[in-house]
Amino acid sequence: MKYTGQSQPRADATAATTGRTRYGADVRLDREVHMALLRAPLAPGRIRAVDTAAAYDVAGVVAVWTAADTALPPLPIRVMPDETLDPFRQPVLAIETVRHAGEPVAAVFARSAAAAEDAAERVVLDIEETRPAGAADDDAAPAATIRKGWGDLNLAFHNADSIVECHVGLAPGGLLPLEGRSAVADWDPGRETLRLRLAGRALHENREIIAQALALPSAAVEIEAPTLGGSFGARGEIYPEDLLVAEASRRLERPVRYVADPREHLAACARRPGLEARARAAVASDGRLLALDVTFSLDQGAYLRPEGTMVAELAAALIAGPYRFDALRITGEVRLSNLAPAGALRGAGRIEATFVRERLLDAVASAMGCDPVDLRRRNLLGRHVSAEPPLPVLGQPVVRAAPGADDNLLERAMRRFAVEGLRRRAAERRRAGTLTGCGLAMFGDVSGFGRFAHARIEIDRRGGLEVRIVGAEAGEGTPTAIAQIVADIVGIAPERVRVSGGRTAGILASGASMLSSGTAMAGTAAQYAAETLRETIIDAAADLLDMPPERLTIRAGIIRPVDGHITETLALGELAEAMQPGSGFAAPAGCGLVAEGWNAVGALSAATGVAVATVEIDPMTGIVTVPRVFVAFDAGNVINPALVERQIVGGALEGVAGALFEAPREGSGAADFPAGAGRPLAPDLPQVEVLVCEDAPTPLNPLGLKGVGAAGIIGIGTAIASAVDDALASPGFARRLPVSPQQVRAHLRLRARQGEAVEA
Amino acid sequence: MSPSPQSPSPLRITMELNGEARAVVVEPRATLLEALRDRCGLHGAAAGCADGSCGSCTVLVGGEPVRACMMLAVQAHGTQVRTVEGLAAGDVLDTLQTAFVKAGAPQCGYCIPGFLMLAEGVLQGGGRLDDAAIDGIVAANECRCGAYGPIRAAIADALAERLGADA
Amino acid sequence: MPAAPFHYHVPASMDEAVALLDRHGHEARILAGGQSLMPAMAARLATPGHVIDINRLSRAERPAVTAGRLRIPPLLRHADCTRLPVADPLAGLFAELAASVAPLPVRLRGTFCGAIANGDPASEWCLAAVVLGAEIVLRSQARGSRVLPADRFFQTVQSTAAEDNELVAEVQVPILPRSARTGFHKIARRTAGYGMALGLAAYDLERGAATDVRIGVGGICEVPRRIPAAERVLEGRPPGGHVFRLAAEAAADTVEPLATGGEDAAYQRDLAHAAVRRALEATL
Repeated sequence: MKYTGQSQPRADATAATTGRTRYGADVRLDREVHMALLRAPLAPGRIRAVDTAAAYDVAGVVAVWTAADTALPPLPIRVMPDETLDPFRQPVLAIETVRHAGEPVAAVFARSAAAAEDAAERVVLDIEETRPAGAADDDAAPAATIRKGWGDLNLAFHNADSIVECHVGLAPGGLLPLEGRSAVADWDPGRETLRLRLAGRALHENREIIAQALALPSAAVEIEAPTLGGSFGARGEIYPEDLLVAEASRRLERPVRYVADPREHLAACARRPGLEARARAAVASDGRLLALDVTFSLDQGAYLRPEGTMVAELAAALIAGPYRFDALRITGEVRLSNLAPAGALRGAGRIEATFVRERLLDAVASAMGCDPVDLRRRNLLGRHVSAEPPLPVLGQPVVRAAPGADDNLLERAMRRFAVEGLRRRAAERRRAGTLTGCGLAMFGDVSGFGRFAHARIEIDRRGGLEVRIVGAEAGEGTPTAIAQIVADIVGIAPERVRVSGGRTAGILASGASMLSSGTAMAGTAAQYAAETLRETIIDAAADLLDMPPERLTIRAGIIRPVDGHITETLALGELAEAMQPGSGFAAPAGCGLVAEGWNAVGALSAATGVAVATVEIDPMTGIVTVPRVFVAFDAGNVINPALVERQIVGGALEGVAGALFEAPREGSGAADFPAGAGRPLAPDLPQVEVLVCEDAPTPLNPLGLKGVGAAGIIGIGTAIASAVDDALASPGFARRLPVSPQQVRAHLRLRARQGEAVEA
Repeated sequence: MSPSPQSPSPLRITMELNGEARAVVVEPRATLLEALRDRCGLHGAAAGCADGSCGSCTVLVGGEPVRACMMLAVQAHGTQVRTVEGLAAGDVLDTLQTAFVKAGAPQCGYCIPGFLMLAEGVLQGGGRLDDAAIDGIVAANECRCGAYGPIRAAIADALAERLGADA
Repeated sequence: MPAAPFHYHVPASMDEAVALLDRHGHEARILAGGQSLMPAMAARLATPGHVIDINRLSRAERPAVTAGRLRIPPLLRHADCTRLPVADPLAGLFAELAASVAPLPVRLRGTFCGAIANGDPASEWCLAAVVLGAEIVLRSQARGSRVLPADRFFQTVQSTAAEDNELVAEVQVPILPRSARTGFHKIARRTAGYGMALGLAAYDLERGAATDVRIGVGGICEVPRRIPAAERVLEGRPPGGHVFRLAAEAAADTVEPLATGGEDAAYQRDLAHAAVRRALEATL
C-alpha cells in the first residue's frame, strides 16, 4: 500500500473536535504565578520615572520588575547576526526610552492573573513623549543596507528602448494567530533545570538563547511547545516575555506563567514590515526585459527582532523572480520606526518581492501596449540556461528544478483556470458598466531552509512506531504527512505510526521551521531514519527466520517472504521484543529497533507559482470585493494532497484579507480599532481554486518535497492589485496594499469630474 | 484607577454544566469563559479576541449560543451550560463532531469548539435550514487558518444526517 | 484581561435598579446584554465600581403596543426584534435591522435599549430611533420618568442626554402605517460588521407621491441624523430612481461628516450618498 500521495485524514482531528487539544494556556501548574506586563501607552518617549510602590498594595503580588531589576540582555539577532545590528536589538523591558506603544516597561508577578493586572495598573509610568506616535524617523540612517545584483546595469539601461518606472508600497500588517502567545517557565531548583512551555517554534534556537541569557548549560533548559493555535510565522522567534518568565521562575523559584491578553497580542506580536519601493525596468523594443533596478525600504518597527534583516534579504534575493534579466541591481534598506517590531511572517520577503516586480511588469505591459501575460511568457527563464544562477538566500544557494517548468506551470494555470475567459468576461462586464477586473501574478518561493533536521524512530513491543521530530504542530498536519512517508517505507499502516514533535528533549538540534520547511526537512530526516530502520528490521529478521534478507519484505507490520509463501512470518512487535537489550539476540545492527536520520541541506529549493484574482468594485463606495482567486504552484512531489491544498487555500485567504482590509491602526495601540474590522469572515472571502503541479520535484531531497505553507499567500495581493487596475481600466492605480476604498472613490470622483461617466 | 473600598467578595454559583450540577466560587468580574477554564477545567472554549468578533469561546447557555467572554460567570447561575466537552457521549462523537472530523475541518483547531457549539445551538432546534442559514452560522465565527469551506461542508452534512435520522 | 474589580448587584425590580443607580451614580453601570460593556470592561476602558445586572428582570423582556406605539422594554434582545407584536412594514424593517446588527450569538444577547443607551453613531437602532421619531423614556429615582425625543437624546459620539443616575427604561417607536414604505442599507467591510455608513428611509404614499418622508444616515455624523434637505427633495414627489438620486445628492451635500475636511470628509459624503440612495432604492 502506498500511502504517500493520498489524502490521509489527520490523526488529531478528533481531539480538536472534543476540546481535548492542549494549547498554551490550557495547562496550570501548582504554585504558579502570573506575569502581567505594563506596556508603554505612547511612543516614542523618554522614561522619566517608573514607580512600582503602589503595585505591592494589591494582595497576591510577588514581585514587580523594571529594567533595573533584570540582568537579561536584549533579544539576540539569530538569523544572519551582525554586530552592526546590535544597537537595534530589543530589550526585554524598556530602558530609558520607549520606542513603540505596547513596549513592555514593567513586569508584575502575582498569584492570580487578575491580581497581576490590577497591580500593573497601579505602576505609575511617567513618560515624556518625544515625537508624534507612529512617525518614522526618515532622517535616521537605515539600520542596514542590502545590495545585490549582477551584470552591467548602466549598459542595459543605455541599450533600452524604453525605461519604465513605478513606485509601490505595502502597509505593515499581517494575520495573527487566534491563540495569543503564551509562555510558562518552571524552574526545578533541585535538578537545576528550567522547563519551558513556549507557544512558539524554533525550539532549539530559543533554548540556546535562554541558556545563554541565564548563564545555564543548554542541557538545563528543556522546551516543549504545546499545540499551537495557528502560527502564520508570528511565532517563529523568541519574545521578551519568554525570557522574562524564564528568569522570574528561576529567581522566584515558582512556575511563572504569561498568557497574552488579546489586546496585547494585537499590539506586540510580530507583524509584517511596511514596504516602500521604487523600481525601474530597462526594456527592449520586443518586450524583452534587459535589466531591473530596485530600491526598497522595509519598516521593521521599533527594534530588529531575532529575524534581523531576514525579510529584506529574502525580498532582495527574490525580486528577479522566475524571469531572465541581463543585469540586476537591488538596494534594500532596513529602517526602524515607532511601530511594533516586525517579524518574518508567512510569505515574508516573497510577498514584497512579488509585489514590486509584478507591479512593474504590469507597468511595462501597459507602457508597451502588450498583453501582460504575453510579457511574462516572453521573459520567463524557460529552458534557457540563465546567464546567472538564482541569487543566494540567507547565505545559501537556491536550486531550481526542471528547466522549463515555469512555462508549463503558467500554461497549465491559464488553461485550468480559463484565465483568458475570466479576462474576457471582465472586459465584457466593464463595457456593460460594471467595474470588474482580472489580474495575474507569477511568484517565486523558496523553501527548505533549516540547514538540518533530525528524526528518530523506535518500534515498541506492540509493533507501534514512534517518530520524533522537533517541529511543533500549528495546524499544517506535518505529523500526518510524515507518518505516511514512514508507513510506506517500513511497511505498516500510518495509523500505527505516531509522530511527535515540539520538544527539545531527546532530539538533536534541528533548524527552525522557517520558510515552510516542516515536511521537506523533518520528513526527509524521517525518511532516512525509516530506510535505516527497514534495513535493520530485514537484517535482524533474516537472522531470526534464517532466511536471506533479499527474500523478506514487510507488509502491514508483518515481516514475510517476498514470494508470498506463508511459511514463517514475524510481526514487528515480536522483532522489537526479541531485540530488547539483554534478550540474548544480537542483531547485526545493534540493540533495539531504533533508527535515526539526519537531513542536512546546504541549499534552498526554488518554486514558482501563479496567482489569479477577479475583483468587483462598488462604484459608489469604492469597496473592492474578490469573488474568485486561483493559485497554481509547483509543489514538487506531494505527500498528502488535502493538506497541501488546505495550506494553499488558507494562505490565499490570508492574502485576500491583507490586500483588502486595513491593518490595525498603530500608535495608541489597538484600542481605537473597531472590533474585528480588520478581519474578513467567511461571507467576505472568495472561493479559492488550487492547481498543484508535481512537474518540478526538487533535487534537494529524495522525495522531491518543497514547502507549501507560503504558496497561497505570496501572489494573491499582487494579483488583486492587478485586477483592481483592470477593473478601473487604470494601469498603475493600485500601487499600494491594502487597496483603500477611499482612494478608489477619490479616483472615480476625479474621473467623473473629467467627464467620464462611471455610474449607471 | 480608584481604589476599591473593599474587595468584592467571591460569589458561589451553581449551574447545570454538560448535564451535571456544578457549583463554583467566582469573583463577580470573572467571565463565564474564565469560570469554565479556570474553575471547571474545561479548555475547549478558548479566548481569542475578547470583543465578541471571533467566537472561539462560544458555548450554549440555556440552549443558545453565547460568547462566553462577554457574559459574567455569575450570570450563568441557575442556567444550563453546554460546552464542546458535553457534545460526545463518552467516546461516541456527536453527528456534528463526526462531520467535522470527516470533512477534515480542524486545522490548528483553535476555533473548532466555538464553531461546533455555534452550529449545535442552531441545529438543535431541529427543522430544515436553507443554504443562507448555514452561511449565517459560518459567518458568525472566525477561523484564521481559513478552513471555512470544510467547516461549512461539515455543518451541512451534520444537518442532513440529523434530518435523515429524524425521517 | 480580567475586568477591574466591581461590586455586583442583582436588583429584584426596576425600582431597585434605579435606586442602586442613584446610590452609585457614575461609579455604576447597568449590565443589560453586555455585548459592548463586557469587552470595554475586559479592555479596562470601562472600570465601573458597581455593575447592576438587570437580566433577571424577566418582565423587562416583553415588548407591547399601546396607542399606536411599539414599546420596547430594556431587555428586548436584538434577535427578538425579528418577532415583534406589530405588523409590517415596521416588523419587516426591524427584522432586517436586527439581522444586520452583529453575529448571531451577539444578537441573541445584546439589547435594543442597550444599543440606544450606548449611542453609537453607527448603531442600527439609534438610526431607526432618530428616523422613526422614537421617544426615549429615562428613569431615575431623583426625577422619576422623563421622555426625550431620540434626536435630542443622542448628543455626540457615544454620549447621550441620560444622566449618570438614569437608565433607559423604554423606547417608544411610532408604528408606521401599513401603506408606508421603508428601506435600509448598510455599508460595511464585513458582513454583520461595524457599519461605515447606514441609510434608512421611510415614507408614506399618497396618490403616488411620497409624504411624511424620513431619511437618515448613521455612521457619518457624531450621531445618527435625519437629513431634511434630502427629505424635502422626495416629499410630494413620486418615488423613483431620479428623485432618489437627487435626494442622495442633497444628503451628501448637507450632511456634516465626523471627518473634517479633505479626502476623509469627501469620502464620508460619498458614503452618505451611497447609503441614502440604496436605502431609498430598497423602498421600492
